[in-house]
Amino acid sequence: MIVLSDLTLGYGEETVIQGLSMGIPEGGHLALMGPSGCGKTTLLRCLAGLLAPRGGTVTGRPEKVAFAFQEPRLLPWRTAAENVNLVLGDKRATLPRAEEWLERVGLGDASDKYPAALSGGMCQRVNIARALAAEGELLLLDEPFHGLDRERAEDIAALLCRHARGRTLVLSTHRREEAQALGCEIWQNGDKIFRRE
Amino acid sequence: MKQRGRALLIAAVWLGLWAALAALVGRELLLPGPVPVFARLWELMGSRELWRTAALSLGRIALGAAGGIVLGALLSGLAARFSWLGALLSPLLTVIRSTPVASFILLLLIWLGRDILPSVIVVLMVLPVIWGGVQGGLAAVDDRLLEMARLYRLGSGRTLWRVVIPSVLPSFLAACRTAVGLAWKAGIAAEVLTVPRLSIGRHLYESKLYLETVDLFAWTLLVIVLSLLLEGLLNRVFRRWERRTP
Repeated sequence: MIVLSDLTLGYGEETVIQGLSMGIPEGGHLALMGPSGCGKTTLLRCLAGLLAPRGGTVTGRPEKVAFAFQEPRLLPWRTAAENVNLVLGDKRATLPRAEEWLERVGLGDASDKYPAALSGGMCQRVNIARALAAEGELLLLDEPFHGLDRERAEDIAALLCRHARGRTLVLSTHRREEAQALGCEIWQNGDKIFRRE
Repeated sequence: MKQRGRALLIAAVWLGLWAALAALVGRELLLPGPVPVFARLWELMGSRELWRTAALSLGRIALGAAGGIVLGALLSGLAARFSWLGALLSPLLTVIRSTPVASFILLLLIWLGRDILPSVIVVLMVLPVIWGGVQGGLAAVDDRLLEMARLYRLGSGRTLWRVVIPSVLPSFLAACRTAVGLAWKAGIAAEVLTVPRLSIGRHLYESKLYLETVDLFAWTLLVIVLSLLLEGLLNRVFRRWERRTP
């Protein structure tokens, strides 16, 4: 169980989250909802260990964390498959596995393409494939369906559902149906903390 | 084909202007025309001495340029890792950048042998350019990619190889292009002032000393041709590297 106790997060002078206490059970799925800038990404970054809290503590965070970032964060000088392969050991022998992950997100034909040759939605799917390939015990998804058409988003949601079974998942989203599709318990933001609905 | 024709036409215009100006001056000692200069260069190219001299000058300058590039990249990388080193070296590099090359040449002539001095001068000229290029490239490394590397525990070696070096490469190669042009000019200038035994600089100096203006023009032309060849060769190599970083 990941336990957040009296957590305060912010950047510079600005405090984004203040006094948040909550528990995320192992294997639990939860969605953070709220308007833009309310602290959803900030909390995900803290859960990933990328942002140190200003106050309070985070305990029980798993060793292996996978993160589908809001912006794909792909290396422009590596192909789609090589980007995924980064989290698989970055060896020639693991490249077929990276290609398999790309196939699962519908990008089997684009594995040797560089990010500049892919659309925004395709880059987002490479980002998701990389996060899934990382096999994290904690899977963080920051608006993962951004830039995907409806049909594609449904396929990806089904893939995420299968993959996230037995893993802890935290989703940041603006859309309730996305949270429901992944079987998430919804936490809404208000007054710089998240509350369970 | 059309482009080549245009380039030839432009070259013909400039050569014509040069010939007209030389005819107007009417004294080879002051301004030789293109015909005697090219004839002299052709004659020099037939001698083994020219090729030995050119190879030695090129060697000295290449040695200095390579040294400056390696040292500049290494120091800049270390300064990014250890901020105190950056603070320590920054004023020194500002001084090197602002000091006239002639001052360095005359000062180092007191301490060093004339054969090695052009290489050392080239190191000093190249170093700040590479330093600046690498520093600029390092400042432009995307923090979000570094964060991704940290999250997926790529480790410092792979982060350097996969994220940092490709990010810095365009800025580093641009600095190398500038540095090589500068190295060539500074190296020849250092040779003119230090006159190593077999060097293009010595021939330039002696041509001037004995008022052999045709020779001075011919050796200068050789420097220009070698510089263009070197630039072309480097562009080819750099383009291959740049293709790896789309």
